[in-house]
Amino acid sequence: MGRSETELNKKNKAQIPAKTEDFAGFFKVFAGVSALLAALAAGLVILFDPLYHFHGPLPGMKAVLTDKEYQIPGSLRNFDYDAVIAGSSMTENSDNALYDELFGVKSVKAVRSSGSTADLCWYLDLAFESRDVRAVFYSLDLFALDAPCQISFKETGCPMYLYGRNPLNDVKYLLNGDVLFEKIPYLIAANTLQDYDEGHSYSWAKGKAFSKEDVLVRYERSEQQPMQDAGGAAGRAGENIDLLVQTVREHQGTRFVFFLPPYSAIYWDKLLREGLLDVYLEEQKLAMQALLKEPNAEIYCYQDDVSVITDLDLYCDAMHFLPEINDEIARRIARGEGRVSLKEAEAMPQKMKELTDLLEKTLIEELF
Amino acid sequence: MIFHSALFIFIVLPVFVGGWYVLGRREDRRLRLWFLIAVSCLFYGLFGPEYLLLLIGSGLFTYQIGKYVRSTPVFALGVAAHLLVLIFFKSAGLLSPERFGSMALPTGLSFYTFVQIAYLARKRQDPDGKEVPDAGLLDYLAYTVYFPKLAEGPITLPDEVLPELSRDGKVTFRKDLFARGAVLFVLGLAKKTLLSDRLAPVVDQAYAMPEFMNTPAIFLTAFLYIFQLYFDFSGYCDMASGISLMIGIPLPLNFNSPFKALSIRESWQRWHMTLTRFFTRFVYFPLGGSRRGEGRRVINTLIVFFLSGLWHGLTSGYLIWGMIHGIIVALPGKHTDADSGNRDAGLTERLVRLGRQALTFVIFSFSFVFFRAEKAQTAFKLLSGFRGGRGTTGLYRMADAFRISELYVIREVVYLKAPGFLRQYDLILMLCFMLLCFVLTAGRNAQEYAQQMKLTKRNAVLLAVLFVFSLLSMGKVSTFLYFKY
Repeated sequence: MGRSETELNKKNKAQIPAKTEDFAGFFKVFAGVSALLAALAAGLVILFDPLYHFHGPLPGMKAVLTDKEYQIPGSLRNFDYDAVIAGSSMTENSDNALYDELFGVKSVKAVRSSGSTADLCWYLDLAFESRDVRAVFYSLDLFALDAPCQISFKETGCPMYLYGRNPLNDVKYLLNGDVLFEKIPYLIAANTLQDYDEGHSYSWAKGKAFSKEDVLVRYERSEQQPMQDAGGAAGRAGENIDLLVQTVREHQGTRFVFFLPPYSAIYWDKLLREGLLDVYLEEQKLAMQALLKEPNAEIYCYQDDVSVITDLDLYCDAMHFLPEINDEIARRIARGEGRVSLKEAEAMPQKMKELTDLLEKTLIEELF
Repeated sequence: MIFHSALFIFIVLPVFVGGWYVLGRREDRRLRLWFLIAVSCLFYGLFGPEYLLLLIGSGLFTYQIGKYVRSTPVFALGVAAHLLVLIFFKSAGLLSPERFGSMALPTGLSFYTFVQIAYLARKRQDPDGKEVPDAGLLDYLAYTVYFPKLAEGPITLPDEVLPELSRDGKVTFRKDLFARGAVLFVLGLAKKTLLSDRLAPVVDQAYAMPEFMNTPAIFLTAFLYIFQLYFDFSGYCDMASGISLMIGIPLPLNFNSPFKALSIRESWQRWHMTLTRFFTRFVYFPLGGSRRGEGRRVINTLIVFFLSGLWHGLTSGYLIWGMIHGIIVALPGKHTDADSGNRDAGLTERLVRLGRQALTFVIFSFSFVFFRAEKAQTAFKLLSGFRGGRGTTGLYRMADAFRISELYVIREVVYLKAPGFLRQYDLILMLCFMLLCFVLTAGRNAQEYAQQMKLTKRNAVLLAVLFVFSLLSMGKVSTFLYFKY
């Protein structure tokens, strides 16, 4: 083992070279070429800006929106729009073009998979910062109401240099190999080679299998847990509800359209078995009661559409349905179908519990 | 803070090097040492301000103990205190997950603890101060927090950096050292961002599903991880040495082409050399080394490698890894240095050497399966794939995790034109990358390149391209693997 010392000392001494060369010339060329290449890379990123951090789409180019965590802050700041479609993965397959046509708006999406209420409200604040928003279409998800009222972008690894206004950290975007070698070529290809549909921004449905078999394969039915006390709902969802109400109240000129998406019968079985049904429904009721007191808020419910929620071929898992259902939700909202009154909101928990009981005795019993 | 960040490369490094030379115009060293301490505290403080206090406390404690280190009880107290802190942080989370489960190991604790112990031991060995200078408190504090070596070593001896720091007089700017330091920094950055971090997702994928790995996948996992670790750790050390060289202070070599070794014993003279040196000088020799007979040599070697395993972590994987090396190194056998080979050797001799080199590499990389797995159970789960019966799922999942953004367009073309060939394309690409790793490690290492590279304009252009590509790859890089030790 002693040999290592000799070797180490030999190498250590050899580390200091004996002769000097054209240091200045070497360093000038190194610095110059480095600066030139870095400027070229940054220039291309600024020009094409595939994450829309600096500007909207270039004239004649479509907005190619496929990476929500990377593109939503930029699109909310820099796009030309007057309506926002907000929500979780339940909303991601919504067709912007259909909303634009039905409601006479120009919409962008502010979506986040399993997004917490705080995250979505942060997005809405970003939209309101730069413009008057005429309408917000918001998917009021049960799990999001129950989640902690905390912004989770940083903790979940979102690229925070795209979220703030600090120009210093823009270097992470400007000198970014993924942006240069992947995002820009993809943007160009989507505009030239592919027939990219701007209406389907952030859509995840392509390539997914929607069938009863897929739903059942992905469903791990848990053991029956004791039902949690609904009395805890106000404490668990209170902050989220307050945040939503505050957002609605601060923007009286904006029409807030909340909708309750149709989860499959399997999802209701899941909530029942995990003991969450009562508390989730109570949280939803409290949210609806609070929101319906605001004159600029409307709520539409499609949770109890039996023809949809019992047809498992419309789903890819317990919650997520075909894009056609997203379209149908938009059309029904436009027609005013499914709008919930305060009285109906108060009766909703009981109604959904009865429906869940019925499903358990029919479809669920057949399946399991 | 990490070396491979825009903040460090574009702001902290230029300010540090520039400030060092500006303040170095003064004869009095104190101002430049305070500056060094401030920059180092900023660098280290960003890992966790609370651990900065531990680092400074460690240095102050060592300095005071160092004054009375001739006394055996005082020396023992000093060493024991450092070891206790290290053991506490290493074991608390394992022994009491409820109380300390969320407590992170302070970055670089294992490294700077050994630097402190080495100071005490060297002071004791050199009571007349012939080799270890009698440094003042400010000098020693600067030595303790000196940021290039802080987070991942190299584990310095006070003979190495301290004399440079504690020397009064103007700092001379040496263009050659600066240029070669810059070259070394860029090469280290490239090793980390262009090589190691490309392999990280593949290795992570393999260890996330060890039960799916068949024989070829196990070989790939072992080889790719050893390359990942080597490019990561040696890349960091190259950057650290490069920064230090830019201000005229050489750091000791920590890696010297380890995969050229002809035996495991020789591997340890080329891999993490300053750790080997620490254990050799301060554990192996005091235990008697090989002077007390073959039996004691074997026992002393096993003790050293057992401690080396413990130093990395108190898990079964590290301990098995340490003992594998201990047993192999303890085996009697003739030592051969790869560098001592005759260039004019015959074909047979060269083939034999190549065979020994390959065998050493295989044993070395497979021992690190236990190191990477941390838990022996995971390693055995992976290695049990040698029994057969596993399909190619794991292999293709590894290949799928391998991405080179520069080749994204080609992959998309393959996807569009021949989607059925995509899996094979990924696999071929990954194998080509592994081949590149073999080629790169068989040639000159970064230190040798930095020393021998001619500072021509052509090389400046090549280095600039490498630098910019490394910068472009920083957007998604991970932290250094040895930060957790």
